[in-house]
Amino acid sequence: MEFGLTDTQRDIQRGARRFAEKEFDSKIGRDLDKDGKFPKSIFEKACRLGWVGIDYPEEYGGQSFGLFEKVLVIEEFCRRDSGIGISISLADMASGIILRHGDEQQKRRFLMPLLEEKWINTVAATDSVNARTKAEEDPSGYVVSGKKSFVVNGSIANTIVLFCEIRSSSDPDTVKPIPLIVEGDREGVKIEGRKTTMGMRMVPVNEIAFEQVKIPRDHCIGGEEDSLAAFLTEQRIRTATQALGIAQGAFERAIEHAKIREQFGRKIIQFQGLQFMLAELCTQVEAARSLVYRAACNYDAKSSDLEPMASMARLFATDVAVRAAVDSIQIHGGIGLMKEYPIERMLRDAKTIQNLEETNLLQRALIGKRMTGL
Amino acid sequence: MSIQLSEKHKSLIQKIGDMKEKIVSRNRTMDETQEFPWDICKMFAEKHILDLPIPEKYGGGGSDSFTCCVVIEEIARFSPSAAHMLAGHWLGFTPLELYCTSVQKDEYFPRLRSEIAAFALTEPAAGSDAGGVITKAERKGNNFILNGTKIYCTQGNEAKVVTIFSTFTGSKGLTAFIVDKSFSGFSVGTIENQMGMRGTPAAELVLQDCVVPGGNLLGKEGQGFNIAMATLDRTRPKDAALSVGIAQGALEYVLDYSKKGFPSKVPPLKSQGVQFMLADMAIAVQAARLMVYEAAALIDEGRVSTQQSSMAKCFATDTAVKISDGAIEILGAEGITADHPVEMFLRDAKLLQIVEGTNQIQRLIISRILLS
Repeated sequence: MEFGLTDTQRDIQRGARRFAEKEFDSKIGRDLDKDGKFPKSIFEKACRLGWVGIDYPEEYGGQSFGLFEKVLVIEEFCRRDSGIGISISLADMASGIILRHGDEQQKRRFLMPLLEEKWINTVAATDSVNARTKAEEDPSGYVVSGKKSFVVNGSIANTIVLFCEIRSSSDPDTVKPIPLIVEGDREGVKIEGRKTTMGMRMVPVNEIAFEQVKIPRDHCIGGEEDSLAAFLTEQRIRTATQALGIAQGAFERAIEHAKIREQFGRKIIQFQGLQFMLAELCTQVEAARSLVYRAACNYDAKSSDLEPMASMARLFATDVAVRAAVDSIQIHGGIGLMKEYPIERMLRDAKTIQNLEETNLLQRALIGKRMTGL
Repeated sequence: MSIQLSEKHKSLIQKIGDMKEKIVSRNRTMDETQEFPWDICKMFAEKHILDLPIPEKYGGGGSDSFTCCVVIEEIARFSPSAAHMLAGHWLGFTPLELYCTSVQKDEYFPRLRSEIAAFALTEPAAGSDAGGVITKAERKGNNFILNGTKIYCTQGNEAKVVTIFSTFTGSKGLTAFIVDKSFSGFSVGTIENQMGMRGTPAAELVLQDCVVPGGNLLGKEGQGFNIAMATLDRTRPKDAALSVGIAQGALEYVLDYSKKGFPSKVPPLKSQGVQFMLADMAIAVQAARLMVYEAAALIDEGRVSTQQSSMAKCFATDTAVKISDGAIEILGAEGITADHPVEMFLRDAKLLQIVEGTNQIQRLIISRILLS
C-alpha cells in the first residue's frame, strides 16, 4: 500500500491552492460572513476554471476526475477560507445524486447548466417537525406537499433534489422515499424562513414549503439503489473534507502566529508547552487526513468498505476541526477572539458543519450498529 | 464539610431569579449589537447586586468572595454577558478594595455602587507578559502625566474609573494609578468586534499627556505588579464561577429542552451514549464548582491561595468550553442556530480561557508552585 499523491493529483492540489490564495481574500470572507452573503463571483470563477466540475464526466462539462481529486480541491479551498470553501463545496450538493442515479436527459438538463450557467443545486431531505413531504401520483407526474427544514442554499438554489414519501401503488400501506428534481422557481415552492446560524453564514439555511407543487414524471430520479443513503455517505466525505481543510488552516495560522508573537523576550513558539499543543494538533490533522483520503479512495473504487469509513472520517475530521480552531484561537490569545482575524470564524464554521446536516452522535450510533451487526 | 448556601445566598439567588426573564430577553440584542446593557446595569445597581463587594460603610453589600461567586454563577447560567459585566466591574474594583487609602475609598467607593470600574493592564506588546508594558508615567508638579495605550480592557469604554498599570520614571517595574475617565488626556479608542461576551466589548484606552492627580497613585511606586497579581488571585475564582455558571446553564438547557421533545425520531436523551456524555458533563461541572468555592473560601478566610485560584480558573474555564461544545452537539442542527443560547455559550466561554491570564499562564503558575 503506497501513500502519496500522483503527479497529476499534486498538480491539482497546487492549482487549487494557487486559485484560493489568489481569489479568497480574508476581508471579503469576513464581510460575506457578517452580511450572510454567498460568494457568487468567486463561485462563478471556480466553475469557469473547472474546479467545481472536476469530478463530473467530461461529457457533462467536467474534468472526469474522481471524488478524491474533488477532496483535494475542497481541502485547499477550506484551508484558505473556511466560509468561502464551504460555500463552493455545498453549491453542487445534489450533483452526485443526479450523476449516479439520474438518467441521461436529467444529467443534460440539470447538471450541465451548473457549470455553464453557474447554477446552484441542493438537496432537501430533512422533514419539518410538523409536516412530512408527501408526493401523490397524477396523470402528468406528481403533486408534492409538505415542508423541509435546514435546506442548505434553499433560497438561492436553481435546482432542488427533494426527497419525498410516496405510497407504493402496489401496496398502499407502504411508503417509500423518492427523489424528485424541483426547479427553485417552480410554482408552489415557497421559502418560509432563514435560520441565523453560528457559522457557515455565507450559505442560507432555509425552511421551504411545497404547496401542491406539480412535478413532471421525467423529474423523478429512478433507479434501484437507495439514493438517499448514497447521498448521505457522499455528504459525510464532503463534510469531512471541509473540516480537514479548516483544521489545516487553523493549525497553520497558529504556527504562523506563534513564530511572530514575542513575549518574555522570545517568540512564543519557543515555549515547549505550546510546541506540545501544536504537536498534538499536527498529529490529529494528519490522522484526519488519512481517514478522509481513504474514504474518498474507497468511494472512487466503489469499495464495500465505504461505510463505516465515511462515517469515521466525518466523525474524526469534524472533531479535529473544532479542536484545532479552539486551540488555534488559544494560541492567538486575545486577537483570536476578535472578528478582525479569521480564526474565530473558523471555529464557528467548524462547529456548524459538524452539526448542521448530521451529528457525530449519529455517526457513533451508525458505526456502533455496524459493529454489533444489528 | 459540604458547601452550604446561607439564607443570604438563597435570597440573592431568589432576587436574581426575579430578574432572569428580563435579562434573558436582552441576551440576543447584546449579542447582535454589542450594546452595553445599561438597563441591566441600572437594575443591578438598584437591587444592590452591582455593589455587593463594596464595604457596607460606603453603602455597599459588604459581601465576601464566596457570595460574589454565587451571584456570578447564578447569573451566568442564563446570561454570560450580564455576569461578565459584573465580573469586569468587580475586577476593576478589586485593586481599589485592596490598596486604596481611606481618602481614596471615600472618593471612589460610593461612586462605584453605580458607576463602572475597569482594569487596564494589557497592551499590544504586553499580553501574557506584563513586563512588556510601555505606558509611561512621570511626575509633573503635584500630578502625574501618563502616556500610552491599553488594549482589550473589558468594558473600558463604559467605565468611569480605571486602574491603569504603567511604568514610572525613576522607578522599577509597574506602578498603578486610579484614572478617572474625566481626566484630561484620557480617551477611548477602538471598541473591538468580538466573538463572544459581546455585551462587554473590549476597548482600547488612549492616554495622551493624561493628567492624573498626585492623590491617585494606588499603593506605592513600583508596587504595580504585586497589585495586579494580588488582584488576579481574587478575581480568577470569579471568572471560574462564571464558567461554572455557563457550563451548568448549558447542561440544564439541554435537559430542559428534552422535556419539550426533540423533533428527531430518536430523542438523543434516550440514547445511552448521550446519557454518558451528560454524566461526564455533570461530573466536570461539580468538580469545577468545588474548586471555585474552595478558592473563594480561602480568600474569605484570609488565606488566599494563588495555586487554588489559578487551578479553579484553568479547570472551570476549560470545562465551560467542553460542556457548551457538547451541549450544541446534543441539540444537533438546532444547536448551531440563534434559536437556542448554546452556541452563544460556547462563544462566550472561549473568552474566559484567555482573559485574566491564559490557561497556559495558569499552568505556568501552577507548575512553578508545584516545583518550588
